[in-house]
Amino acid sequence: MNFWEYNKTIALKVSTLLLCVLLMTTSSCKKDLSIYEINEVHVSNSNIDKNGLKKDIEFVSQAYSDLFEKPISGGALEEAIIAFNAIGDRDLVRDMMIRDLLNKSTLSLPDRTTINADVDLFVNKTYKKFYKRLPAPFELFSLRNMIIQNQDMQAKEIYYAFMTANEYNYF
Amino acid sequence: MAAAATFALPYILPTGRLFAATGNRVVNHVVFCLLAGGVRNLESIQKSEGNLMPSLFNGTEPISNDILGGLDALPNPVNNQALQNYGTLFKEFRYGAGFPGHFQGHTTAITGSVVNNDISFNQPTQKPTVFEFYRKHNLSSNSGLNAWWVSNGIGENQNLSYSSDPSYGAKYSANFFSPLDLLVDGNYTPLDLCVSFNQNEMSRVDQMRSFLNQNFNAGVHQGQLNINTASDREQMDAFITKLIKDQKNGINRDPWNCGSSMNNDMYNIYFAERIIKQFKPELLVVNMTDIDICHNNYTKSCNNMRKADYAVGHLWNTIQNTPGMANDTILIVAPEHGRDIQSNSIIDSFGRYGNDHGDANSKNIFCLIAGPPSKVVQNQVVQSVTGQSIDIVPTIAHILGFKNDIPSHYLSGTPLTQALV
Repeated sequence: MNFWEYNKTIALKVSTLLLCVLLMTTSSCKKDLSIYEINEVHVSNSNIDKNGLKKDIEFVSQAYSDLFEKPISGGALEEAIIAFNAIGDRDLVRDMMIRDLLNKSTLSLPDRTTINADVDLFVNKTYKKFYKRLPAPFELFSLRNMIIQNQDMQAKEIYYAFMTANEYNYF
Repeated sequence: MAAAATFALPYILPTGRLFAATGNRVVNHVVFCLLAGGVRNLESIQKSEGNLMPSLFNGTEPISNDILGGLDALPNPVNNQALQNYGTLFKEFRYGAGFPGHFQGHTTAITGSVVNNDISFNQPTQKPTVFEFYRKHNLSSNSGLNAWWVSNGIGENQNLSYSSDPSYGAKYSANFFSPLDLLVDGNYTPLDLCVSFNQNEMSRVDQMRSFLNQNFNAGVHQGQLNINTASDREQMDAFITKLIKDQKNGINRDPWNCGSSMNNDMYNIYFAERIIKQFKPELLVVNMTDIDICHNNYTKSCNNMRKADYAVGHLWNTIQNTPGMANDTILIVAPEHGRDIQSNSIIDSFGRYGNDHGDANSKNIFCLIAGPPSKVVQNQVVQSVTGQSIDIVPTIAHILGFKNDIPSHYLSGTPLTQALV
């Protein structure tokens, strides 16, 4: 059995394992996972209560649902878990996964015209999308200025900045 | 007073090290190949089935006729001579006091500590690893890329990248990599379309991220493991991206022209060679595990011993053809443990019985240390019982010059200086 044949077998095993894990988590930890459900996000006015570091599986699930506004598929989650386990530097994997998601052709991003039409609205939406809170007035002021002053800056860059900043690693 | 002040101040060495290890180095690179899966001396150095490992050992003993049908075609060994001619072969090496299980064997080889069945398979090892010893006592700006643990399979092996020891730990971790798990069509999908930002874009991103970070005080995420610096991570990123691209383009498929004979161990060594060529690491540990099929298929295990042997020969050849590592690298090859002297009851299609591991014979292994003639005693065979698995970490520490920096209570083994000039 060579590399590729072997890995087909492994993939089947991992699929089975993942299915078991998903069944377990959906049955026993449903309360914890409900935070990923798109329509049940609590929007806070502050980041002061964020102190729970996201686990890798939580991080990628959240990243996917934040960007695509739907839950990540079982298959995609399985692949993500393998990638996390295969590479020791998990921070690198997180960064690469974000840049991969931001490059998916199925991802819909606001263009610059849309952003410029109402920068405050875009900033508010971006904070809610990724940080589940509204920006403080000084945050809104600063982000608005940055975005207006950098007319070449696209939504992809802004989203990348938000998703790789410290706050995004925490619940 | 002046001398004391001098010692207290960090000194950036030309190599990038913050502090120099206190010992002299024998060479600047060590590659440790765990010929894992349980290899008996009987089939390896004693050649009971003929010379199954001509890349490692001298001899033209013919392979047993009755298993020939179960052996795949392989190219001739890559090197002109068997590796034992380039170094010292300890024919009666010992596993030592611990239980000869695969993970225990890996743990002992990588930590230099005896372990038994009391270890956790799901947590970082309790005893510091050779990677942590190396990184802590050879601090450098790029040390993450200098320490690699390349594993055939994930499982518990990733827990040997670093320990839970409070004096060491994750910040001194190896870069763990299980290429065969990532580089399967489909498995790399989460990473294969990464957008690249140009310098201007990254500058804008950095500015915005810096602002966002200033306003988040609940915690500062410094990285779960903090293995690599930001600049090292960029290099890692480019390397992984290139491997994925090559995988998609079929470049990683049958790279040694071995056809269907190429097994997982050979692929694992191939990817370790990619790391060697790219990063020229000072410490790389790579394992092979396909021999473990001996429990239920003795003949296939012999077949996989041949493939592992070919792969080690290829690895040596790559080292010698990699500028920066050629003639400056010591290669250590050892099984993690052996196998039982008595067969089990599982018979293969060639009428051969399998072998488990756990008895006293499972502790009889060999160790080969090969390197430059000016550094390693060439063509030396140590026939007497000499050395054990816990000596490998001290040997690596001695070779790379930091043995004396490791607190003495961590390691009970001694360097295998008999192999060194």
